[in-house]
Amino acid sequence: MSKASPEIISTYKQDSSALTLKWLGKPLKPKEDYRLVRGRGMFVDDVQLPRMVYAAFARSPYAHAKIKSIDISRAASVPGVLLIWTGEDLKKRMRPLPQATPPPARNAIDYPLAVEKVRFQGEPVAMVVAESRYAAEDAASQIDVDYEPLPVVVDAEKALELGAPLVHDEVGTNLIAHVHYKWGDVDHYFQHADMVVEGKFHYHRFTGAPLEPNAVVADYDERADVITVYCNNQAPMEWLPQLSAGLNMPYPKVRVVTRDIGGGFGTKLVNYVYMVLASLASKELRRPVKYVETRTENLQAAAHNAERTCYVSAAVQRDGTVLAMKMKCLDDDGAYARHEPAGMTVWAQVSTGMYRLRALENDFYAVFTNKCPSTSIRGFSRAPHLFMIERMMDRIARKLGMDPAEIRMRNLVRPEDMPYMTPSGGLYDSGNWPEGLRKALEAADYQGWRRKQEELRRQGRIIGIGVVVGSDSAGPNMAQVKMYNPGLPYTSGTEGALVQMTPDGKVRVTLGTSPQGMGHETTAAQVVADVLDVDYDDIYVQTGFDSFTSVYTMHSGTYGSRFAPLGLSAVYLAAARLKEKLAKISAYVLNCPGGDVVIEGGKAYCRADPQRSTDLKRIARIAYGNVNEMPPGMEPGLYSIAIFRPPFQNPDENKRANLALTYSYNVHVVVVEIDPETGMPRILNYVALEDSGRIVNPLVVDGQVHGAVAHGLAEALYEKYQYDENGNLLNSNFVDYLAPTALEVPSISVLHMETPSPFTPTGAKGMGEGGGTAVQAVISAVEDALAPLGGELEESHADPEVILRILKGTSS
Amino acid sequence: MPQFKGSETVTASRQVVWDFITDPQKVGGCIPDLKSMHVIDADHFDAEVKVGMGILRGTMKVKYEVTSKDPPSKITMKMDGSGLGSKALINAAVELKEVPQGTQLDWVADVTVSGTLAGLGARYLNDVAFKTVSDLFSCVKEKLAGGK
Repeated sequence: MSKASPEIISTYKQDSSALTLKWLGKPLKPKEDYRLVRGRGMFVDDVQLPRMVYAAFARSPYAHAKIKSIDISRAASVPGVLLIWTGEDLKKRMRPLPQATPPPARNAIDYPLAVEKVRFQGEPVAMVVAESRYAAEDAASQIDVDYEPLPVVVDAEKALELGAPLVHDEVGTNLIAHVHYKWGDVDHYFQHADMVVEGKFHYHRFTGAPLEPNAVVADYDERADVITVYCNNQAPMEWLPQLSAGLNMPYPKVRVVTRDIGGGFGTKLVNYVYMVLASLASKELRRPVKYVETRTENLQAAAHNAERTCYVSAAVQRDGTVLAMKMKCLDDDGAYARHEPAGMTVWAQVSTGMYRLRALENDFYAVFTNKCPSTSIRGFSRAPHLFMIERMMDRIARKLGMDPAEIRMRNLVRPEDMPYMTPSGGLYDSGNWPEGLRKALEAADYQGWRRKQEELRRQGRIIGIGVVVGSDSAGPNMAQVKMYNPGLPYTSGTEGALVQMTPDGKVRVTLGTSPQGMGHETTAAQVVADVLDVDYDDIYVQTGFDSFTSVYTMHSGTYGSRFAPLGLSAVYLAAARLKEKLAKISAYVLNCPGGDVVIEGGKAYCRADPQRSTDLKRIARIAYGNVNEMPPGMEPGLYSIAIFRPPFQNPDENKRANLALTYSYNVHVVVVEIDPETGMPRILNYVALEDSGRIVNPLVVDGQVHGAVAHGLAEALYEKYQYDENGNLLNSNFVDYLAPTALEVPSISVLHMETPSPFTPTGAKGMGEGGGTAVQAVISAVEDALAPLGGELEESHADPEVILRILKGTSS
Repeated sequence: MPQFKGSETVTASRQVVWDFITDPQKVGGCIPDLKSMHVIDADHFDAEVKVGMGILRGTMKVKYEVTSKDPPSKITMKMDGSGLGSKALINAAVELKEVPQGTQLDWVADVTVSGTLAGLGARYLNDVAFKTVSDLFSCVKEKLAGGK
């Protein structure tokens, strides 16, 4: 909790000398938009292969029930049906999916189709593959399953009580994992603080609701003995072990391909279950198998976020200094640990928020319940962490009679402390947070709104203002999962890229990432154009990911806002190496004095004699075809591969580590008015300031800010899953699960600050998830509006019913 | 799900009502939106019923079973429906009392709905469930009106 030591800073410091800053920062039109806005994208459902067949699923109507018998006779007689598998059939063909949990939760037996019992509503029970999707769906609806309903547990706290129904009998408890971290002398601060402020908060359940649901086409080529899996998984290489083990095929025989992906937001990390099923079926039938989820299947059974309940107390001084916090948290991870309990430690480094907390203790439990399995939905884990912190800051401000902006200003990490080390070992790279807060308050006319708020209140109008400072930390160090399971083979966070100048002088780039609309083709091209100093239009970035041609590591993919800090760093390094080789060949070809050559504007010339020049196209032709003119001994070709490795460490014995490479930050100031009749808040003013380091493309960054605000607003005001006590999901379609449209999202004023990161060669920081700042800001504003009535919000969703109860004084 | 209750006064003797409600063919004829039925024995039959709730429309298979009988005054039955990715379980009890106008038919039903149907119809499921069961018994009343 001080400025980081020079030794640590020097290990992270990156060389950015190859940047020409000619293309970075320009609002260049995104390369991918040209095809996407014309409907020419290539999504999984666009993949049409000869002899392709279609899968559909019979799913559990119960949240928890024993499967007594499955009768497939009616389904099997539907014309066109080729294959019907139940969990028992799958058991004969594959081992259970590997579990990343510590014992005893590791004993949970997880198959893509339910075996012996179902554990959440919508869980696949049987798969049908047929000649047409109609036939597959018809047959799936005619699979007769005899269930014996079992007692259901839908509450994380109740799930840990003695005698609670067990989601996995073989585990013997509903506890998935427990981790306790204590950073700094928490007890000391609590003993000596002027006061202790407490709160209980709940981060509710929702999803990412991408436009494109999960989809897969698996195509087994018998002649080559290769399976090609066209998918929309966000991190296909991370799940390759599952796929390879499920198919019993080595990695070089498993080709994973992504093309355009219609949004992911974390929901598409766990769709490997369908990749395994479709691949096994394709191998069995020797035909390509396609599966595309329906919207109800996606909302009911794809992936939710982990709900989090936290009991928080803060040690506070009378002047508003927040010294330390203690938390006890429970994550409701649903029925299977397919990605979670990662959230209990992933981004734990931001659990102190943006503030100079001296110490923090967290006692964390992850729990199985009979709900849909959870994963890392946008703002994964840091959004709930920051929600707790920001709710506490508002609560403390009210207790002390301080302005919520003032208490934040008092506690923010100061620019002179950058790079700043948190009590948990997090290394905040750069930025000026107080300045960001000042700018955002000014742009939003905060003081003006405060005055207006008073006037309007006298007229009976209910106005609230929310001010939140958030962390958009990015580029995760996956070693953070070792905090709950030290045996896991995941460490660090790396990404690869290939940059090739082809013999015609154009540039081909492949990425290890699988973008879902974040403009990777555009920003990667900008970095390559900038480093090589060639024309942006001469850069061709391969769409999506192909494990047979892309350069990857096991962490490759697009999640955790990792492209700008990790992916672009790999692109930069590959391009810089290619530039060095181009320079060497050019100097030799031009016979430059001292070998000193300048590469600029697609040409190379001798520094001492600029008249001696050549275009790079000629150098490229030489490198591939006229190799006798190359420097002796030099390897022909112009391929450059780089894998970027941040200097991450594993957590130490006190679970301290830097768990992300960059720390973008944002300040949101939002004004709401509450309708006294309906309890519905309406946004009157929205200002979002973002500092994501060097801006590679302002159009892309603005789009990401808009997306993050829309998501946060959705979570705070519209999207909330409702389960009944029997584990029935009561809103599994867009009629009842309210995803906002353009009509609900207000106009947003986006402001920028630009503090380049010293820890990435481009200076860019990851951003896009927004860290859930919009959720915090909207809830903060609603609570501010209700403050005169003494109403405090405990949940991340401001339900109009709850607001009305507070307005009517029937609830606090 | 809550428990539903209802009462009908049938202008027929208790024995006539009893004979009616213990005859699968006759009870089956009173199931709303019945598509087809197959009688197995006096206490069991299978039926197919049309279901329409919100945007979810289709057929459910219903297994009907008499779970206890105390002639001529008390009978309990179970209707186990499945289809549309959902389950609907109705446990009902009927009590017949002699009254001056004929027979008083008191019924109670526990309805449990699971699956997609439970989610889709969250807002009006109670109304639909109540209407379905009460239509069944008012049908009994109508069919027997004036019978001795």
